[in-house]
Amino acid sequence: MESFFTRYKNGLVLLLVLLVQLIGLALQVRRPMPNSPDSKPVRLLRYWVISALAPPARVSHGAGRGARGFWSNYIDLRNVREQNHDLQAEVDRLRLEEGALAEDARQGQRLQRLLDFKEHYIYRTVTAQVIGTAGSDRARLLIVDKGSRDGVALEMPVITPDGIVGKVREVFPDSAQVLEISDQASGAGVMLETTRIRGVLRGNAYGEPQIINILPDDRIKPGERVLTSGGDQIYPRGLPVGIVERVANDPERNPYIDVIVKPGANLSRLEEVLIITSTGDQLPPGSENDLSKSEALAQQHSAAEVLSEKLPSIHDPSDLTAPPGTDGPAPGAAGAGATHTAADPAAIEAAKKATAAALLARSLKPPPPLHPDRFTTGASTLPPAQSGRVNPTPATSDGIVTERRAGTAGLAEAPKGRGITAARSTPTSQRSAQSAPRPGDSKTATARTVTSKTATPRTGTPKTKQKPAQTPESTPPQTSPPPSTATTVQPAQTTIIPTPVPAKYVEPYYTKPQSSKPQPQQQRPGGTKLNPVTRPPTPKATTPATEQSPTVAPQGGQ
Amino acid sequence: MLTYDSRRESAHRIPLALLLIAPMVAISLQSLISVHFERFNLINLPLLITIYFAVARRNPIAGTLLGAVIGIGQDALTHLPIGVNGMANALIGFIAASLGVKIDVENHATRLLLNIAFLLLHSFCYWIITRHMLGTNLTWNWIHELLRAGVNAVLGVILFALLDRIRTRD
Repeated sequence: MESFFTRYKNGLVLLLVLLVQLIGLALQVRRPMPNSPDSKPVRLLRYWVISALAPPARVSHGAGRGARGFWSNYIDLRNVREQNHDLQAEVDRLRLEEGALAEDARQGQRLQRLLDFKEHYIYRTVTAQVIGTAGSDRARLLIVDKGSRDGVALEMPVITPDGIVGKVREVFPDSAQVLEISDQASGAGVMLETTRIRGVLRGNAYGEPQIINILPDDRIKPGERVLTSGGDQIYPRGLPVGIVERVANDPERNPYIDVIVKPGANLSRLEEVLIITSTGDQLPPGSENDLSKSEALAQQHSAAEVLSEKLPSIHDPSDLTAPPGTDGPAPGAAGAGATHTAADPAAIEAAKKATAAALLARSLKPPPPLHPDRFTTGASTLPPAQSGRVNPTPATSDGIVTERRAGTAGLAEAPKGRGITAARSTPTSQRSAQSAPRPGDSKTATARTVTSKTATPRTGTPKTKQKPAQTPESTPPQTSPPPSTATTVQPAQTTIIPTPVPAKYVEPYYTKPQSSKPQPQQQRPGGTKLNPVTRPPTPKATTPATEQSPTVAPQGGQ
Repeated sequence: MLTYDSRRESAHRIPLALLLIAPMVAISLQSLISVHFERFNLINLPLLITIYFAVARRNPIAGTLLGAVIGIGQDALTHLPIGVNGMANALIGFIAASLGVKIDVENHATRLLLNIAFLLLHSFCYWIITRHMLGTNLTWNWIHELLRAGVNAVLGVILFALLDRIRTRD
């Protein structure tokens, strides 16, 4: 008997060692739940090994971090000021965006409260350094330098700003093990962002996270974002997980497919992670403050935008004492001088509070011209031929500039576009005198062109089918005030100050025969054929030159 | 070729300090380097240390125990049950020590072939334990396993030469 043990002692020792470990393996596998914590001896064994490993790992990690910190904190500090400025600008922009979404967020919270739905917000996190791994491609596991003394507990989610990493699997006083989502033993409730298909995420044999137990669906496309669904009661809902990389058939379960996910967090090179130690049904105080700031800023910005729409002449809402002539009145507004006086006091008050936000609104307007001319909006200096005669207003979209004379306050409140009708109510003689070409007016020819185009339908039947409401000619003649009333209510004696109409818009009008009868053509010096009938002896104040005008047959000789 | 008894008598004496420190350093490096280089997971430094000391000491019992301890240390860093690597490494330690008595293991080519064989055997043992005893879904990929064995074998030859110099100096 003794010789047997002596002879086979090597094999017997091997069998004994294997048998002991096999029994230990069986005891570990036999747990009440598959993912329940390890037994105390096993946990103690892991703790010894990790405790022996952690100090040199911390020293190594700290040395590397110190070297990198020395470089980044003392040497590589160039362009920090510019970067800080850019980041501040980005913070401001993001605040505005957050404020724009804040109302929806508040509404969502109210609805959730009504439905008694408990949304879990990330309330507190602990930043941890990754000091080790399992050291094997068969176990995707991290070792972090934060443990139970730092508030870390089992099953706490571990994330990065780019996506989730995993969950805490084992906790020791000064360290913890984190099971990555790419491990085969992991599990996380996820859903696809667009299709809202839910599934369970776990790693495959190659260390790739995949969503399992999904029926084939053509809507699942690579590139779709994957978010946490919150159904596992571990990861808060809505955290980014990654994007769909590809879809593969499940070889073991035929009707199902596997959705391979590319994780958002770089699981292969993690150095710092966030452990979510606390969640709540309300936003944390810091986030609440940020949201309030963003809401206030967005409200100010909105007020400034409203004010800029009401008072487009005001560039700086805080400087409401600016002279009215610095900017022209609103296009089509009848009373330039009444623009500022008609401003809403509440809007002015809001604008005073929104000085910072007004800078953004101001940036939306074009900068003032360096050399304003008579066509410039709000120009105070005019060419000598026009100075003292007119108060230019901005050009309307159809290229017509209306001009008001002094003493037309009775029509100051006329709506936009009514000026033409009022001008047509002026007696013909008066209109002729007003719209006569003046010396020095370089655009007289164009003015005549416009006049002839628009004056034509008045004397004859329009040959085009135009809606009466769209043409000034539809105004009944009896609605025009008689000349006697002009003494009490001065009509807006509006003339047409032509804008430089490009030749491409003018030439076709002259070259295209509009009348059924062929008219004798006149050769222009430039070679362009002109219709002499279209050149009335005296230009009239008429309607704007619209796109429909060339189709109207010119009828001269009123 | 030396006889069995002469090889047994000429077993190298390895300093105890080196016998204690080397496995710990191997496990630590395996864990630390993998943080920054994910591909380092392919390397199995603790197993190479097991093979080296088992072959050098030429004592199957010592090789078995050493392999079991190093394997348990590896298991402690993972979430797997304690004993998966312990059983595989113990078996490798036993076989390596037994072979070290019979064949010349000082030659680099022999070391290279031995390392490849031991790595494949270790992977097979690991696969048997995890798939058929623990019921996990571990798949066997020949290309991956051959690549792993080749890379570890080359690194093992270099490491063994380095450890030879340390042992001689001591």
